[in-house]
Amino acid sequence: MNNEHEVYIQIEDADGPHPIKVRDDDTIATVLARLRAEHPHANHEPELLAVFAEDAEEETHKDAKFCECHPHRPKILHCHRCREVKVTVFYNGEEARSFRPNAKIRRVTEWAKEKFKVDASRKWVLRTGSAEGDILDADTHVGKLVKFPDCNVTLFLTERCLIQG
Amino acid sequence: MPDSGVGLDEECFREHLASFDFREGVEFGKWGMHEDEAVQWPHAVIWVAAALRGENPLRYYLFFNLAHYPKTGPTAYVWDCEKKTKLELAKWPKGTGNVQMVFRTNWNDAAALYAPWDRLAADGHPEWPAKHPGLLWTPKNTIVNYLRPTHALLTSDEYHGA
Repeated sequence: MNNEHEVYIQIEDADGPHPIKVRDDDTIATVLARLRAEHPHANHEPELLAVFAEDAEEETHKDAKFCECHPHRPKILHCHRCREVKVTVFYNGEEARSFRPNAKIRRVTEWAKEKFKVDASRKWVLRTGSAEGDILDADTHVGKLVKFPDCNVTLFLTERCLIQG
Repeated sequence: MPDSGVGLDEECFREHLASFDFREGVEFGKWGMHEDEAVQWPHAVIWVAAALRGENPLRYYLFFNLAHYPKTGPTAYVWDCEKKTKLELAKWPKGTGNVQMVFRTNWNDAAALYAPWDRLAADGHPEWPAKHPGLLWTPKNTIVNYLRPTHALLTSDEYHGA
Protein backbone atom coordinates (compact mmCIF):
# COMPACT_ATOMS: atom_id res chain seq x y z
CA MET A 1 0.00 0.00 0.00
CA ASN A 2 1.39 3.35 -0.96
CA ASN A 3 -1.59 5.59 -0.90
CA GLU A 4 -1.36 9.31 -1.18
CA HIS A 5 -3.14 11.21 1.55
CA GLU A 6 -3.05 14.50 3.32
CA VAL A 7 -1.31 15.38 6.55
CA TYR A 8 -1.09 18.71 8.33
CA ILE A 9 2.23 19.97 9.56
CA GLN A 10 2.56 22.52 12.31
CA ILE A 11 5.89 24.32 12.36
CA GLU A 12 6.61 26.00 15.69
CA ASP A 13 4.50 29.13 16.15
CA ALA A 14 3.83 29.73 12.45
CA ASP A 15 0.35 30.09 11.06
CA GLY A 16 -1.07 26.80 10.03
CA PRO A 17 -0.86 23.89 10.25
CA HIS A 18 -0.18 23.46 6.56
CA PRO A 19 -1.65 20.58 4.57
CA ILE A 20 0.70 18.51 2.44
CA LYS A 21 0.24 15.39 0.33
CA VAL A 22 2.30 12.42 1.47
CA ARG A 23 2.67 8.80 0.48
CA ASP A 24 3.04 6.01 2.98
CA ASP A 25 6.65 5.32 2.04
CA ASP A 26 7.73 8.95 2.24
CA THR A 27 10.15 9.52 5.06
CA ILE A 28 9.57 12.30 7.54
CA ALA A 29 12.71 14.03 6.16
CA THR A 30 11.27 13.92 2.66
CA VAL A 31 8.01 15.41 3.83
CA LEU A 32 9.80 18.21 5.70
CA ALA A 33 11.96 19.04 2.70
CA ARG A 34 8.91 19.20 0.47
CA LEU A 35 7.10 21.38 2.98
CA ARG A 36 10.04 23.74 3.07
CA ALA A 37 9.92 24.09 -0.68
CA GLU A 38 6.18 24.77 -0.62
CA HIS A 39 6.07 27.01 2.45
CA PRO A 40 9.52 28.61 2.80
CA HIS A 41 8.23 31.31 5.14
CA ALA A 42 6.87 28.79 7.62
CA ASN A 43 9.70 26.34 7.78
CA HIS A 44 13.18 25.94 9.20
CA GLU A 45 16.13 23.73 8.39
CA PRO A 46 14.49 20.30 8.52
CA GLU A 47 17.47 18.81 10.35
CA LEU A 48 16.90 21.22 13.26
CA LEU A 49 13.29 20.25 13.77
CA ALA A 50 12.10 17.64 16.25
CA VAL A 51 8.96 15.90 14.98
CA PHE A 52 6.09 14.60 17.09
CA ALA A 53 2.87 12.91 16.08
CA GLU A 54 -0.25 14.12 17.84
CA ASP A 55 -0.34 12.91 21.46
CA ALA A 56 3.01 11.12 21.08
CA GLU A 57 5.52 11.48 23.89
CA GLU A 58 8.47 10.25 21.86
CA GLU A 59 10.10 12.08 18.98
CA THR A 60 9.65 10.60 15.51
CA HIS A 61 12.89 9.80 13.69
CA LYS A 62 13.24 11.58 10.40
CA ASP A 63 14.30 8.48 8.56
CA ALA A 64 11.11 6.76 9.62
CA LYS A 65 8.63 6.20 6.87
CA PHE A 66 5.52 8.18 7.25
CA CYS A 67 3.40 5.07 7.74
CA GLU A 68 5.67 3.91 10.59
CA CYS A 69 5.63 7.01 12.70
CA HIS A 70 2.31 6.37 14.36
CA PRO A 71 0.08 3.34 14.95
CA HIS A 72 -2.47 5.10 12.78
CA ARG A 73 -1.69 7.51 10.03
CA PRO A 74 -1.10 10.78 11.81
CA LYS A 75 -3.33 13.61 10.75
CA ILE A 76 -0.88 16.17 12.04
CA LEU A 77 2.83 16.33 12.78
CA HIS A 78 4.24 18.91 15.16
CA CYS A 79 7.69 20.17 14.23
CA HIS A 80 9.68 22.34 16.57
CA ARG A 81 13.25 23.29 17.30
CA CYS A 82 12.38 23.08 21.01
CA ARG A 83 12.38 19.40 21.85
CA GLU A 84 10.89 20.27 25.21
CA VAL A 85 9.07 23.32 26.46
CA LYS A 86 9.58 24.26 30.08
CA VAL A 87 6.21 25.43 31.40
CA THR A 88 6.18 27.44 34.62
CA VAL A 89 2.78 27.98 36.21
CA PHE A 90 1.99 30.48 38.94
CA TYR A 91 -0.94 30.20 41.31
CA ASN A 92 -0.25 30.42 45.02
CA GLY A 93 3.37 29.60 44.30
CA GLU A 94 5.27 28.33 41.31
CA GLU A 95 5.53 24.92 39.68
CA ALA A 96 7.43 23.94 36.57
CA ARG A 97 7.89 20.93 34.33
CA SER A 98 8.75 20.20 30.75
CA PHE A 99 6.25 19.17 28.12
CA ARG A 100 6.72 18.13 24.53
CA PRO A 101 5.72 20.89 22.11
CA ASN A 102 2.73 18.82 20.97
CA ALA A 103 1.21 18.80 24.49
CA LYS A 104 -2.12 20.59 24.72
CA ILE A 105 -3.02 23.24 27.28
CA ARG A 106 -5.76 20.89 28.50
CA ARG A 107 -3.06 18.52 29.76
CA VAL A 108 -0.97 21.32 31.28
CA THR A 109 -4.06 22.60 33.11
CA GLU A 110 -4.75 19.16 34.58
CA TRP A 111 -1.15 18.89 35.74
CA ALA A 112 -1.25 22.38 37.29
CA LYS A 113 -4.56 21.71 39.08
CA GLU A 114 -3.05 18.61 40.61
CA LYS A 115 0.20 20.34 41.58
CA PHE A 116 -1.55 23.24 43.28
CA LYS A 117 -4.23 20.98 44.77
CA VAL A 118 -7.01 23.32 43.70
CA ASP A 119 -10.70 22.45 44.01
CA ALA A 120 -11.25 20.20 41.01
CA SER A 121 -15.00 20.79 41.12
CA ARG A 122 -14.42 24.38 40.03
CA LYS A 123 -13.45 25.49 36.52
CA TRP A 124 -9.85 26.50 35.89
CA VAL A 125 -8.04 28.14 33.01
CA LEU A 126 -4.47 29.02 32.12
CA ARG A 127 -3.59 32.53 31.05
CA THR A 128 -0.60 34.10 29.40
CA GLY A 129 1.24 37.20 30.54
CA SER A 130 -0.44 37.64 33.90
CA ALA A 131 -3.34 36.43 36.01
CA GLU A 132 -5.49 38.86 34.01
CA GLY A 133 -3.97 37.86 30.69
CA ASP A 134 -5.46 36.04 27.70
CA ILE A 135 -7.27 32.81 28.49
CA LEU A 136 -5.72 29.95 26.55
CA ASP A 137 -7.84 27.57 24.56
CA ALA A 138 -7.57 24.05 25.96
CA ASP A 139 -6.65 22.74 22.50
CA THR A 140 -3.66 25.07 22.05
CA HIS A 141 -0.35 23.24 21.78
CA VAL A 142 2.42 24.55 24.04
CA GLY A 143 4.81 24.64 21.09
CA LYS A 144 2.81 27.54 19.67
CA LEU A 145 3.61 29.57 22.78
CA VAL A 146 7.40 29.55 22.49
CA LYS A 147 9.85 30.80 19.95
CA PHE A 148 13.19 29.02 19.68
CA PRO A 149 15.78 29.43 21.20
CA ASP A 150 13.67 30.43 24.21
CA CYS A 151 11.84 27.21 25.03
CA ASN A 152 10.24 28.53 28.21
CA VAL A 153 6.75 29.82 28.83
CA THR A 154 5.14 31.23 31.96
CA LEU A 155 1.43 30.72 32.56
CA PHE A 156 -1.02 31.66 35.29
CA LEU A 157 -3.66 29.38 36.73
CA THR A 158 -6.91 31.15 37.57
CA GLU A 159 -10.51 30.25 38.12
CA ARG A 160 -12.63 30.69 35.04
CA CYS A 161 -14.71 33.89 35.14
CA LEU A 162 -18.45 33.55 35.03
CA ILE A 163 -20.10 35.39 32.19
CA GLN A 164 -22.33 38.00 33.75
CA GLY A 165 -24.91 40.39 32.44
CA MET B 1 -8.23 30.62 -7.57
CA PRO B 2 -11.14 32.55 -6.10
CA ASP B 3 -14.62 31.48 -7.14
CA SER B 4 -16.32 34.07 -9.31
CA GLY B 5 -19.25 35.50 -7.45
CA VAL B 6 -17.86 34.51 -4.08
CA GLY B 7 -16.90 37.38 -1.83
CA LEU B 8 -13.69 37.54 0.14
CA ASP B 9 -15.52 36.90 3.41
CA GLU B 10 -17.12 33.72 2.11
CA GLU B 11 -13.88 32.61 0.50
CA CYS B 12 -12.04 33.09 3.78
CA PHE B 13 -14.76 31.18 5.64
CA ARG B 14 -14.46 28.29 3.19
CA GLU B 15 -10.69 28.27 3.72
CA HIS B 16 -11.22 28.00 7.44
CA LEU B 17 -13.61 25.10 6.94
CA ALA B 18 -10.73 23.30 5.23
CA SER B 19 -8.34 24.00 8.11
CA PHE B 20 -7.01 21.26 10.33
CA ASP B 21 -8.75 22.61 13.41
CA PHE B 22 -12.21 22.61 11.82
CA ARG B 23 -11.74 19.23 10.14
CA GLU B 24 -10.43 17.70 13.35
CA GLY B 25 -13.62 18.82 15.10
CA VAL B 26 -15.69 17.23 12.33
CA GLU B 27 -13.72 14.02 12.57
CA PHE B 28 -14.21 13.81 16.33
CA GLY B 29 -17.92 14.56 16.00
CA LYS B 30 -17.70 17.92 17.75
CA TRP B 31 -19.29 19.98 14.98
CA GLY B 32 -20.07 20.03 11.30
CA MET B 33 -21.69 22.01 8.51
CA HIS B 34 -25.42 21.59 7.99
CA GLU B 35 -26.10 21.98 4.30
CA ASP B 36 -29.38 23.66 3.40
CA GLU B 37 -29.91 25.33 0.05
CA ALA B 38 -32.28 27.79 1.67
CA VAL B 39 -29.44 29.14 3.79
CA GLN B 40 -27.41 31.54 1.73
CA TRP B 41 -24.30 33.57 2.44
CA PRO B 42 -23.65 35.47 4.69
CA HIS B 43 -25.54 32.85 6.67
CA ALA B 44 -24.48 29.32 7.47
CA VAL B 45 -25.71 26.62 9.81
CA ILE B 46 -23.22 24.61 11.85
CA TRP B 47 -24.22 21.91 14.32
CA VAL B 48 -22.41 21.53 17.61
CA ALA B 49 -22.49 18.28 19.57
CA ALA B 50 -23.86 18.19 23.10
CA ALA B 51 -23.40 15.68 25.89
CA LEU B 52 -26.05 13.00 26.29
CA ARG B 53 -28.64 14.15 28.81
CA GLY B 54 -31.63 11.82 28.82
CA GLU B 55 -33.79 12.30 25.75
CA ASN B 56 -32.24 15.59 24.79
CA PRO B 57 -30.75 16.23 21.36
CA LEU B 58 -27.15 15.27 20.84
CA ARG B 59 -26.52 18.32 18.73
CA TYR B 60 -27.70 21.86 18.42
CA TYR B 61 -27.75 23.83 15.20
CA LEU B 62 -26.40 27.37 15.18
CA PHE B 63 -27.57 29.84 12.55
CA PHE B 64 -24.65 32.13 11.84
CA ASN B 65 -24.41 35.56 10.32
CA LEU B 66 -20.90 35.71 8.89
CA ALA B 67 -21.00 39.01 7.03
CA HIS B 68 -17.53 40.53 6.63
CA TYR B 69 -15.89 37.45 8.15
CA PRO B 70 -13.32 37.36 9.69
CA LYS B 71 -12.81 41.10 10.08
CA THR B 72 -16.20 41.17 11.75
CA GLY B 73 -16.89 38.34 14.14
CA PRO B 74 -19.64 35.74 13.76
CA THR B 75 -22.93 35.92 15.60
CA ALA B 76 -25.33 33.02 15.95
CA TYR B 77 -28.49 31.77 17.57
CA VAL B 78 -29.88 28.31 18.09
CA TRP B 79 -31.72 27.08 15.01
CA ASP B 80 -34.50 24.66 14.25
CA CYS B 81 -33.34 23.06 11.03
CA GLU B 82 -36.71 21.40 10.35
CA LYS B 83 -38.82 24.51 10.77
CA LYS B 84 -35.99 26.70 9.43
CA THR B 85 -36.36 29.28 12.12
CA LYS B 86 -34.96 30.14 15.52
CA LEU B 87 -35.35 27.21 17.87
CA GLU B 88 -38.29 27.53 20.22
CA LEU B 89 -36.84 29.18 23.30
CA ALA B 90 -38.07 26.42 25.59
CA LYS B 91 -35.82 24.01 23.69
CA TRP B 92 -32.60 26.00 24.03
CA PRO B 93 -29.84 24.34 26.08
CA LYS B 94 -30.21 24.70 29.81
CA GLY B 95 -27.82 24.39 32.68
CA THR B 96 -25.86 26.22 35.30
CA GLY B 97 -22.88 28.57 35.29
CA ASN B 98 -21.80 29.70 31.86
CA VAL B 99 -24.23 27.37 30.07
CA GLN B 100 -27.07 29.21 31.76
CA MET B 101 -25.61 32.55 30.69
CA VAL B 102 -24.49 31.77 27.16
CA PHE B 103 -27.83 30.18 26.22
CA ARG B 104 -30.01 32.63 28.10
CA THR B 105 -33.21 33.46 26.30
CA ASN B 106 -34.19 36.55 28.25
CA TRP B 107 -31.70 38.84 26.55
CA ASN B 108 -32.24 40.79 23.31
CA ASP B 109 -34.97 38.41 22.18
CA ALA B 110 -32.38 35.59 22.09
CA ALA B 111 -30.85 37.20 19.03
CA ALA B 112 -27.46 35.60 19.74
CA LEU B 113 -25.54 33.47 22.19
CA TYR B 114 -24.74 35.60 25.22
CA ALA B 115 -21.05 34.86 24.91
CA PRO B 116 -17.85 36.91 24.69
CA TRP B 117 -17.02 35.10 21.44
CA ASP B 118 -20.30 36.24 19.82
CA ARG B 119 -20.02 39.57 18.03
CA LEU B 120 -23.54 40.78 18.77
CA ALA B 121 -23.29 39.99 22.48
CA ALA B 122 -19.77 41.38 22.80
CA ASP B 123 -20.72 44.62 21.07
CA GLY B 124 -23.02 45.47 23.95
CA HIS B 125 -20.51 44.66 26.67
CA PRO B 126 -17.47 46.95 26.62
CA GLU B 127 -16.32 45.42 29.91
CA TRP B 128 -15.97 41.92 28.43
CA PRO B 129 -12.55 42.39 26.80
CA ALA B 130 -11.06 43.02 30.23
CA LYS B 131 -13.06 40.30 31.95
CA HIS B 132 -12.66 37.60 29.32
CA PRO B 133 -9.40 38.34 27.48
CA GLY B 134 -8.59 35.84 24.81
CA LEU B 135 -12.22 34.81 24.32
CA LEU B 136 -13.34 37.78 22.26
CA TRP B 137 -13.22 37.72 18.50
CA THR B 138 -10.24 39.14 16.66
CA PRO B 139 -9.80 39.17 12.87
CA LYS B 140 -7.08 36.53 13.28
CA ASN B 141 -9.63 34.07 14.65
CA THR B 142 -11.38 31.36 12.72
CA ILE B 143 -14.85 29.92 13.14
CA VAL B 144 -13.23 27.30 15.39
CA ASN B 145 -12.68 30.02 18.00
CA TYR B 146 -16.46 30.26 18.19
CA LEU B 147 -17.16 26.55 18.05
CA ARG B 148 -14.63 25.33 20.61
CA PRO B 149 -15.91 27.22 23.67
CA THR B 150 -19.52 26.56 22.64
CA HIS B 151 -18.85 22.85 22.30
CA ALA B 152 -16.92 22.84 25.59
CA LEU B 153 -19.99 24.23 27.38
CA LEU B 154 -22.41 21.80 25.75
CA THR B 155 -20.27 18.87 26.83
CA SER B 156 -19.53 20.17 30.33
CA ASP B 157 -21.17 19.22 33.59
CA GLU B 158 -22.85 22.64 33.52
CA TYR B 159 -25.05 21.51 30.63
CA HIS B 160 -28.23 19.81 31.84
CA GLY B 161 -30.16 19.30 28.62
CA ALA B 162 -32.85 21.21 26.78
